[in-house]
Amino acid sequence: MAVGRRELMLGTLGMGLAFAAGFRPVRAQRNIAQPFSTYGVVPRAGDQTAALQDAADQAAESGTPFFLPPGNYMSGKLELKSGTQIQGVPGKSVLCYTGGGALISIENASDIRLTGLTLEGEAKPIDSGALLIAESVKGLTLSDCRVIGSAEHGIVLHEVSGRITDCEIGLIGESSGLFSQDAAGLQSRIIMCTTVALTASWCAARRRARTPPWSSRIASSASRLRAAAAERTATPSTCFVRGPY
Amino acid sequence: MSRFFTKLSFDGAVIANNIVDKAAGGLSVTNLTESGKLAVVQGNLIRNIFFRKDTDSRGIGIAVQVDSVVSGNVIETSPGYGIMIGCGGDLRDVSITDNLIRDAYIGIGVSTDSFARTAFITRNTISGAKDGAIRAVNGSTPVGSDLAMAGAAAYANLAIYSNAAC
Repeated sequence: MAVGRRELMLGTLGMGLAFAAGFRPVRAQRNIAQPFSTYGVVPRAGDQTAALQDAADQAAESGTPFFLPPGNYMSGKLELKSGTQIQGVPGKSVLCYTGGGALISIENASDIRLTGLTLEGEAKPIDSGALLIAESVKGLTLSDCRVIGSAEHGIVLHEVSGRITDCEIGLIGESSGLFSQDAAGLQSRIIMCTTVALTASWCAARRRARTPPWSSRIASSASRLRAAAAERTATPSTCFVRGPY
Repeated sequence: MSRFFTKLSFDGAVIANNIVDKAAGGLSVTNLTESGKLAVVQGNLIRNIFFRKDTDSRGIGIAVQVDSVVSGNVIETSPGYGIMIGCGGDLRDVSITDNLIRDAYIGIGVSTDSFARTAFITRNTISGAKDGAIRAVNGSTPVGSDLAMAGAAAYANLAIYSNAAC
């Protein structure tokens, strides 16, 4: 049988489809395995504090922003140096607090820029009192960030100049009976508690009077919230970032 | 990259266009008279502030003390003050304009300590305040009558007018 032009075309098309169908999963896998990353950091299982810290240090030294690909990163305390720029995808690049006092700590530094990051506290106790804590920083830019789920404060800035813009801050840690977990319409708007403190000197005397500044008082509410979170999600150890924002 | 940071002063911060939802405190800009300097708090949406019984939180939407402009913010549902201005004598050059405060216990509280300096409070809309739209505060207790109605003639450091309170 002579192969007509039409058959040939259809055959080629079929082969092409088969080719595409056969190769698509491979391609998708490759994309997931190797997302764009500036310092080799991609979301992995387990704690990534060391890798994140290393990338942040390199970013501070080189000046090239550290791009954090979308995904969840389990992390302890990251200490940022002068000149660090970290850029995430808003709502998608999520740092999940695993412990260690804070997620991001900046001290005696300048020119720090954090954009598009989500800091998720998972209602775990925070020794330093906030997910992001900055002290004596000149030129801190924080934009398009979400700070949620802190058992204490979201952001505490002490002697900091800069801009906090277009951020969403809402936190967990409520101790009174306001939290209506299953109410329709509330579930999607997570956000439960706490204070955003932007302080130059937080009524100095009062601050000195209570050391450690914010710890321990929230233990009971935090454990209650963890229980609530465990109830709510089948896998309580993973990040529970919820939308829409 | 090392720089010398013995004593940094607070050189100014812009806090703009943020959303704070369900918090025990909204925004707190506590510059003190000797160290703090310049803050702009503009266009923030702050809602569902509540008291936390296990802390000393005061259920305040926005707290400012010195050298700050607070303008164009919306504060809804605050069990303490919608906006608290000053902390004892720590009050200087604060301008509070064009904010909407709804369902606060007290709309705006302003410190009237003898060391407190200028505060300018005008063109705010305060709706549903349970214990006065604008009150003078001594320590942490509100004193006197509602300044939105009575005016601030009794206090030399305050300029309060053209606020809508209902």
